[in-house]
Amino acid sequence: MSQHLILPILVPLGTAILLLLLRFIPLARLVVIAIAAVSILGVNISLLSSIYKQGIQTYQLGGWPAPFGIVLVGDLLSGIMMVLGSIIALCALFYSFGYLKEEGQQAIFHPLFFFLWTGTNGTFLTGDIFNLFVMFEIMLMSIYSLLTLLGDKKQIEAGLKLISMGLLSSAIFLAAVGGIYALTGTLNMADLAIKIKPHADHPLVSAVAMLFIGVFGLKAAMIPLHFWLPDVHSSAPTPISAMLSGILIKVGIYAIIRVFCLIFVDLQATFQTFFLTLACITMFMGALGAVAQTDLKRLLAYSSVSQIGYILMGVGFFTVAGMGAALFYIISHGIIKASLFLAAGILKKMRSTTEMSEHGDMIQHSRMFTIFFFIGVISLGGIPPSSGFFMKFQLLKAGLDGAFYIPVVVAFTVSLITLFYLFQSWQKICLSKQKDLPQTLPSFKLLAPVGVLAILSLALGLAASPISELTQAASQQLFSPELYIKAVMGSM
Amino acid sequence: MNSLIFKSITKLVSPILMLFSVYLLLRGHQLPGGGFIAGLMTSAGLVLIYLAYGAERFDWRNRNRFFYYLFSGGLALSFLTGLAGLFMGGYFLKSGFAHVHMPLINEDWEFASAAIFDIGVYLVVCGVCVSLMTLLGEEE
Repeated sequence: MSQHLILPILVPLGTAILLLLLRFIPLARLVVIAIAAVSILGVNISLLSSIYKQGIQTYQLGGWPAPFGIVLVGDLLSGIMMVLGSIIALCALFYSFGYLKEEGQQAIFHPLFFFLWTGTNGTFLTGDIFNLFVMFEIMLMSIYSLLTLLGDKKQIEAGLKLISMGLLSSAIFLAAVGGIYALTGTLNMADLAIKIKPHADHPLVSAVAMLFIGVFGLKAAMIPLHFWLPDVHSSAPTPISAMLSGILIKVGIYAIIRVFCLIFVDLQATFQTFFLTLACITMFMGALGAVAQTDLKRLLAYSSVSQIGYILMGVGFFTVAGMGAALFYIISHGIIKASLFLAAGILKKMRSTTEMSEHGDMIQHSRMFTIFFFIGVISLGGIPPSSGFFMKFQLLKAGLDGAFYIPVVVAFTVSLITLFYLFQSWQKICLSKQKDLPQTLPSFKLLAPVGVLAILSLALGLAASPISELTQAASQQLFSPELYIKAVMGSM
Repeated sequence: MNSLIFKSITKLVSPILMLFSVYLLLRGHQLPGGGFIAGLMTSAGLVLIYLAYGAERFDWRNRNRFFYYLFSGGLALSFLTGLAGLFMGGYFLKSGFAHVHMPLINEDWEFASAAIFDIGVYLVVCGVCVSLMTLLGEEE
C-alpha cells in the first residue's frame, strides 16, 4: 500500500481543474503548467524506481479492498509506460507554446491536455477492467476535442472518423466486459485471472479474448483496423500528433499485453499464430503505405502503423526475450516518432504545409533541424549507434532464438523499406535544391523539444544495456502473473 | 416558440422538475438518484424555460463566464472531496458520514461526504448542459 501510486492520476487531474479555473489569468496558468508538468515527470520516475526496488505496488481507491473496490496497480510495465508518456507529454507541452499562437487556443488546449495525461496515466495504473474502459473514455474525450481544436476542415473530418471509431470500440469493449462479467462475476483483473482458470475451455472466453483484440487493435491501429489512423495522426495539431503516435497507440498494445499476460494466459499459445500473422501484415502494409506518401506527416503516420507491427510481433512471440524487446521497442519508437512528428510540425509552421515537394534545402536554413531530423531518420531506420538499432536487433534476436523465422525475414525486409522511405524524405526536405522559397527560421520553442527527444533517442542507444535490463525485468514480471495476483489479492 | 399551451405547461412542470431533481440529488448516495441524473433533470427544466420563454431569459451579462465557472467549480468541488478523503481518511475518494441530531424536527439526519461529491457532479452537468444550450442558441 503506497500513497505514491495515486499521484500520477491526482496531479494532472488537479492541474487540469486548476487550469480551467484560471482560464482568464494567463500568467498563473503558465506557472501552474510548468510546476505540474515537471512534477508529474518526477513523480513517475520516482514511482518507477520504487517499483523496481520494491516490486509491484497497489492502492485501493476509497479504502475498499480488492476485489470489491477499484484497485490501482503499479508494476514495471505500467511504470515504464508512464515515464515514457510523461517524457513525450512534457516535450509536446513545451512545443505547444510555440505552436499555438493564440492565447484563447492555449486556454482550451492546456486543461484538455492535462485531462489526456490523467487518462493515459490512469490507463496504465488501473487494475480493474471496467476502470480501464473509463480511463480510455477520459483519454478519448480529450483527444476528440484536442483534435478538432483549431477547427479546420481536415481536422473536423478526422475528428468524425475518430469519434466513430471511438464509439464503435467503446461499444465492443463494453460487450466484451459484459461477457467476461457474466462468466466470472468480477471485474478486478487479478481476481479475473483466478476465476477464469476453471473456465479456460469455455467458448465465451475465446470470444471475449477476440473482442478484446479487436478493441485494443483498433486503438493500436493494427491492420485491418488501421483505417482511421493516417487521417487522424496527420491532421491533428502537431503536439497532439506526437502524443498520438508516441504514446496513445501504445496504449492499445499495453492493453493487449496486460490482458494476455494476466487474464488470458492460457490462450497465449492459441493466439500466437494469429498475432504473428497480423503483425507481419501490419508491418508490411504500413511500410508500403508510407512509401506512397508525398506528405511528411502522412508518411510518419503510416510508418507508425508499420512500427506497431514490429511491437506486436515482439508481443506475439510470448517469450520473455520477445516481450522485453517489444517493450524496448515501445520506448524507443515512442521517443523517435514524437521527435519526428514535432519536426514535421516545424515544417508546417514554416510554410503551412507538410507536402514534401514544397520543402527543400533545409540544410541551408537550419543546420540544427537537419541534424535532429537526421538523428530521427537513422534511429527509426535502425542504424547504430542510435536506439533504433538496438530495438530492431533485440527484436530480431528474440525472434531467431524462438525459431520464428518467417516473421524475422518479413521484419528484416520491412526495415529496409523503412530505411528507404525515411532517407528519401530526409533527402527531399533537407538536401534537394529549391529556389527562392520564403523562409522563416524555426523558433527555439519549436526546435528545443525536437532536439531533446532526438538526443534522448541517441542516449537511449548508448545506454541500451541498462534500459534493456529494465525492460527484461518488466517482461519477466509479466510472465509470472502470480506476482501481480498476489500483490492485488494479498495471500488469497 | 410562442405557444400559450407550452408556456403554461412549462410554468407548471419546470418547478416540479427542479424540486424533484434536488430530491434525487440528496438521496443519491444511498438510493437510486445522484448528481448526474439530478443535473440532467435540472437542465431539462432550464431547457424548457429557454424554449418556452426565449433566449432573453438567459441573457444577462457574463452569462457564459458564469456557467463556465459553474462547471469548473463543480469539478473542483468533487476533486476536493476526493482530496479530503485522502487527507482525513487516508485514501483518495474515501467517504465519511456523520449523524446529526436536528433540534426542531427531532430527527437524526445523515450527512455523507459522498453528497458533496454528488453536488459537484450536479454543478458540472448543469453548467455543461446550459452552456451547450445557450452557446448553440447564440446568434453568430
